Amino acid sequence: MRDVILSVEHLTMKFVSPVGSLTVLDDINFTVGRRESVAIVGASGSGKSTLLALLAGLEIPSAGRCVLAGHDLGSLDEDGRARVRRAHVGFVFQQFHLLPAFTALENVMLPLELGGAADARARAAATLGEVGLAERLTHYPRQLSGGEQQRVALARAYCMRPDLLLADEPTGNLDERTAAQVIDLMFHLNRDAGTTLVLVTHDERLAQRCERRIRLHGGRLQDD
Amino acid sequence: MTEREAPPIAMGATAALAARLFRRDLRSAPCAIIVLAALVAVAAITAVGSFTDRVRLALEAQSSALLAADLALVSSEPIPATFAARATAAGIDTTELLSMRSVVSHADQLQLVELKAVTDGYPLRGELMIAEAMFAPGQPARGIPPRGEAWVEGRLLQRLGLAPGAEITIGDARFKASKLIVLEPDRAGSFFAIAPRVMLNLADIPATNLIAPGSRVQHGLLFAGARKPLAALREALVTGPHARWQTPGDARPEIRAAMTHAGQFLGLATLVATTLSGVAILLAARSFSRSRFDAIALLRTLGATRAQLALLLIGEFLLLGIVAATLGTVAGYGLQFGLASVLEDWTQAALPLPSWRPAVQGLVGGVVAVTGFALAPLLELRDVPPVRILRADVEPPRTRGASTFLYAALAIGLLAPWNSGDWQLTAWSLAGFAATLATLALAGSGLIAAVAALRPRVSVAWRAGFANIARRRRQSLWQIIALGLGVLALLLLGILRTDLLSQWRATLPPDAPDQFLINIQPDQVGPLQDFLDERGVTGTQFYPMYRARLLAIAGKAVNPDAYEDPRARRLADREFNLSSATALKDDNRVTAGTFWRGDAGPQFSVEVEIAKTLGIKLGDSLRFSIAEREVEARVTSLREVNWDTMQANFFVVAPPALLADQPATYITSFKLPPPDTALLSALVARFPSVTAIDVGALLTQIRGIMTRATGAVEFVFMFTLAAGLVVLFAALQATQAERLYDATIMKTLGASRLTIAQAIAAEFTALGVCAGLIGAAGAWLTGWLLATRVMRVDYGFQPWLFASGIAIGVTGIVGVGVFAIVRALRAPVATILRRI
Repeated sequence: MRDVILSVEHLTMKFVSPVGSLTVLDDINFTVGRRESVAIVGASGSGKSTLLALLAGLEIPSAGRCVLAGHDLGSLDEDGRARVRRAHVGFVFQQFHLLPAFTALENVMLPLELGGAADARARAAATLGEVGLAERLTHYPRQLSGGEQQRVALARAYCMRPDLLLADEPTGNLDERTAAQVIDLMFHLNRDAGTTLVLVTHDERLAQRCERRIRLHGGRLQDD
Repeated sequence: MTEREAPPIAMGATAALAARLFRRDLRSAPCAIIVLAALVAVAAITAVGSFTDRVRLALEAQSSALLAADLALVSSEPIPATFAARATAAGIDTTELLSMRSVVSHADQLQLVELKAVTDGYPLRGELMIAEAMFAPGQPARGIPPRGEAWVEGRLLQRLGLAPGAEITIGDARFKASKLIVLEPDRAGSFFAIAPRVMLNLADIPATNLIAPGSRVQHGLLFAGARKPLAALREALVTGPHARWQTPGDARPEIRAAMTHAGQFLGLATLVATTLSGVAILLAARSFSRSRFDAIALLRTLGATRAQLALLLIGEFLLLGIVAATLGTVAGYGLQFGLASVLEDWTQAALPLPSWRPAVQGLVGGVVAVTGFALAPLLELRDVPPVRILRADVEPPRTRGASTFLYAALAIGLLAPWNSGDWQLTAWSLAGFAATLATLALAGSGLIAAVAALRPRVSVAWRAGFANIARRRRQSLWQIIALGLGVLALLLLGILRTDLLSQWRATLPPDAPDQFLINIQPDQVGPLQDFLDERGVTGTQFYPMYRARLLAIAGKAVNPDAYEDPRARRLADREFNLSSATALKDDNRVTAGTFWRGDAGPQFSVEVEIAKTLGIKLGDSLRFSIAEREVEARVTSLREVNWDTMQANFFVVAPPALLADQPATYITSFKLPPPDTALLSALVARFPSVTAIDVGALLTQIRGIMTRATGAVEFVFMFTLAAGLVVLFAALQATQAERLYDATIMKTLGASRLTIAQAIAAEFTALGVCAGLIGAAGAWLTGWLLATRVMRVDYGFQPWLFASGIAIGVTGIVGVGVFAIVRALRAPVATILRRI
């Protein structure tokens, strides 16, 4: 049995609105081992993205807990959770979420600098080279294509050699060919860096490339 | 098959859609800011409009006091009795006057006096102040001198060596000099008349037998009443060539200057508030425009034409303007009642409620401001390409800055003179604003380039901040401009309040002379100086005074009747007081030519206003007769005199040599250490031929105007402050969403809130420093222009200005901005990401 990097216990998420309360996630339990690759799949509105947000400590569950690299996220404050993310987590989003004011290089340098790396510039440049963007260092996100932007996002995530990479529909905004390239790159980096990969997708082909799939249906877990 | 044509624009449907959009948009942040900004502008216009309406009335009341009436008719011929009867019929009060030069005798002494006979009701405006004893403070007179009594100026009794209550003879009648005249409202214009005043009851005049055919008598009829009937009466009464009308405008120059300045301060404060609100509207409209790209792209996809969109948007903003203007008018009306309390006890006359005019001004002003400032960003929306519905990165072509400024300048141009009522002040202020705007844009671009260059060398938080400035180049520029203008306006008002106002008040310092001594013989100058020095009155200056009559200008004999202007006629007719000087006085400024230094050759320097009135130009020769001798020389300089200072000043000055052998008396002025009336008594006893004139009451009047004006400006300052805050808010709101997005991404990547706050603080600090510096420079420049070109007061370098500018810029934007973002960041990241 591999070491557990992520453990989810009785995770429940309810949104309370004036018209009533909506249970998005209902008593979810699972663990993810180091270097494992897991796909969270399910139909739209099944709670996939909410689960991912909870795993990263971007949101606080209504009940249950989520332990990431030994840290119970629920017991930490905002800045504490930010520190855990900085130390252990990389992100890739469907909308890329690059900082528009930063060049590709600066975007990749950002997490390195936040972590206090002395050689941020060199490492960022090297990682951009690994994703094939050595010629695009000084370009701004608006000057890059969707695929290139997602590769910058991947470089930003991998330059930290994170223990856990969380990806939310990483190919959702890309055409099929570009999506395939980005997926290859992601699994390649995952192998090389020894990263754990948890991705949310409704793309079955992508899900099949993962070692394990967690299916969500109506906010509850269904074993694959 | 025929091609289907687009249906014509249905105005009704467009209006309904505009109304629906308006209802929905009203809740959005940019629209709320627009309404808020317009509300501030309209409230300022309305409140200040109503207030200045009242101030004007109060000032008119004060200047009426200086005429003792709202209107006066003076004539060398008796005024027909029908005039007074017609006035009474029109509901206008009148009172009759008669004035002439005469001689008062006591025992074997004779004294030339200015005789004035009055009837019941005098003065119709202002107050006659009288006293029981020499140098005692005056009390308001109840009524006029009773039959058989004369009220006289103290100096008459001084000269005759009498005490109050003594008997004097005027013509064939005897009078008891029962009271002393301390302040006569309509005497203000002629303090330095050589002869003292004696006031009688008009009914006593026949007994004096003074009036005979050929006597030089001036008849007067004073009027007081509402403005319209007065104007109608003035039109209706046919007066002969011997008669002339006098209006409150003929008040003495010191008071006129004070009133003009008061009006300028108020006008400027309103102008600043309106312009700032306009900037806020402009910023918010830009932000509104950006937030509507998608909706407009959708409307275009659905077939809306550009004309329809223009109608739709302008309609929506007209509604917005009307709502804001209505709210602002109501608020302004409410607030001006607060202003009215500033006026209390200033004027005894009850002020009428403000007219409908300020309300209309406010309403129209609000709509003009909203549409004028918002027009360019709104029209930009017409050009949103429909393809944006598919490709979010497609934006309309950029609005040209020129059209934005054109519409905004048009709006200010429409509003400003209407508000300030002063073209010159408006022009200079707008010039200051425009120069600042250009400088802000230039310096802003410089700063953006500079921070972009600094990026690789700073830590991550600072880089994030600097990168944001560089990336949002246009918005950053706008923020620098908006914040810079805000800083400029606030500092300018600060300068006005602390600096220009105090400079202005300093022209009338607490130690401004309130006593004038005239008729000082040359051999008395030394002893009198010693006398004053011994009693602690130091630093007095003695100026020689030569009584002269102007005979010719540029070789042409002066004929008083040739002047159309009654003032010019009066001036040409009377004796001038010439003086000599070796240097230009501090409160004088040369406007043309050069003033001599030391004892120069024959020449004259003439006060610019009197030169204009009499038609004297630089280079003209002037011929005066002084005690039967004639003196002629050229005018080598024209001077502007700051009458506010209350120092002795002269219309015409010559180098000492030119007037050296002419008979002179001296004049001096000093501040009486209060309440040292014993000094005056001792002075008069020691130098009986010297005449003392007390202008303390006049000083109090001028100080009153200055104090009220300061209070009023401070009140108006509140609007400017509010407008400045709205600008700051608008500038921040415009980029709030983007900042929040950036901060959220950083947070997701593990940045602490401190790091994020540092990044935003870095951005805001850089923006704040730049805007603060440039705003301060602009405020200084505008203040300098206003001081030197409009208000004519001294103005030096102000280091505090720059420190305050940076402090306001940085604390304002950093404080508000960082607080807003950090507060927003308390929400979980996922929630914010979903919102974005």
